[in-house]
Amino acid sequence: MQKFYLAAGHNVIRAFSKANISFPITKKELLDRAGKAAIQVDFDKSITLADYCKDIKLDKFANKSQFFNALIGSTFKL
Amino acid sequence: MNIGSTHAISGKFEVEALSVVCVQVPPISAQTMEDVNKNVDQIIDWMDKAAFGFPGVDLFVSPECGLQGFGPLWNDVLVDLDGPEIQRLRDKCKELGVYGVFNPLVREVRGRKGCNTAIIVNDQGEIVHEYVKMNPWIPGEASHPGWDCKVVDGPKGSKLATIICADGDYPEIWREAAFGGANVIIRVSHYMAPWDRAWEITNKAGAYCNQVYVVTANSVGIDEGYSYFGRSMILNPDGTIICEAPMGLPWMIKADIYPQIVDQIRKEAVTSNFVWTFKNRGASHQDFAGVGDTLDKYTAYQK
Repeated sequence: MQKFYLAAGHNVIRAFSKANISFPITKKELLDRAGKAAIQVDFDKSITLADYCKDIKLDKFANKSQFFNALIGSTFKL
Repeated sequence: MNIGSTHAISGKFEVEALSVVCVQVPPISAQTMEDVNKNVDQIIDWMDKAAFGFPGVDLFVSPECGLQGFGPLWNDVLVDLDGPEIQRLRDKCKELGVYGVFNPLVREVRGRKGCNTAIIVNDQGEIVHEYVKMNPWIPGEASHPGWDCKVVDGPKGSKLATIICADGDYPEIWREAAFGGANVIIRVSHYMAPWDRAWEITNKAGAYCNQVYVVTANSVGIDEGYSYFGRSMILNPDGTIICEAPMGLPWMIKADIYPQIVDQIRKEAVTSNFVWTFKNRGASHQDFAGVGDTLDKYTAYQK
């Protein structure tokens, strides 16, 4: 059975903690403070948080739930 | 208590402990204003007990119908919010320096006659909150239905809303209070058999589904026809019971709760952030990506 790398969300939370991110927050402020953080998204791949968020169309996030919904909605394609 | 759902809550935040005491007492089914004043005497006596038994209490909560009971003549013993019976309770709050929650049956509120009204009195003796029961227990309770559910700043970082008894059987009023920013919902009740199981279920559901502390005070005793079972309880935002009074006995319960945790849950919870997700259905689908679908697909609220 194929094993997937599934800790990307965890790594985003870790990056938020290091950057003292709190909500509500604008996308710009979030990326100014944490955009350069390296987020491991696969066993052999890391990207910056800014790159991870590049397809998010929202300018601000009312809460952490909205951020993650926007992130998944912009990266998980059907 | 799991305060961050699946995802951890990040960062530091301040909390203050709000010390809450709820009492469950048997009111007289008042037929005269003398009876009403005896019920006021009883509440004041229990406020003294609360101050003695739980020094430093911030918030004192008494049951629905605590001033008048709910006998056949309840409509003959209505009080005025600026009347002497309420003034006695206001004076007691000021004397003890506590917030108090009381539930008189009021002659008239903003032009509406016969209002089952929860009030919050602050530690200066001022009425800072009035709430008229949105869902009277019909048909037996022919009081005027309420028209809004306001939230008021309380002590120690609390944002308080009140709901009354049968209100708690309707999920809309819990959601309205939480959506308005309440981090503590106070449910005062004159809830009777055979609904002692429903009492627990609805309190737990109200807390969990709205991620809010729930503080309840229910009457005890038997009047002309109904058995009021008590079981006053205080619940965490995950729906677990912190403390619960016994069935049928006059009693006090006390808990320290931390209202700012609720505020932080609403900012930081990713999954099960119901007060946000209920209006953003399917927000992680690619077609929505952060702003979910609306509530207009529900037919239940359409005329």
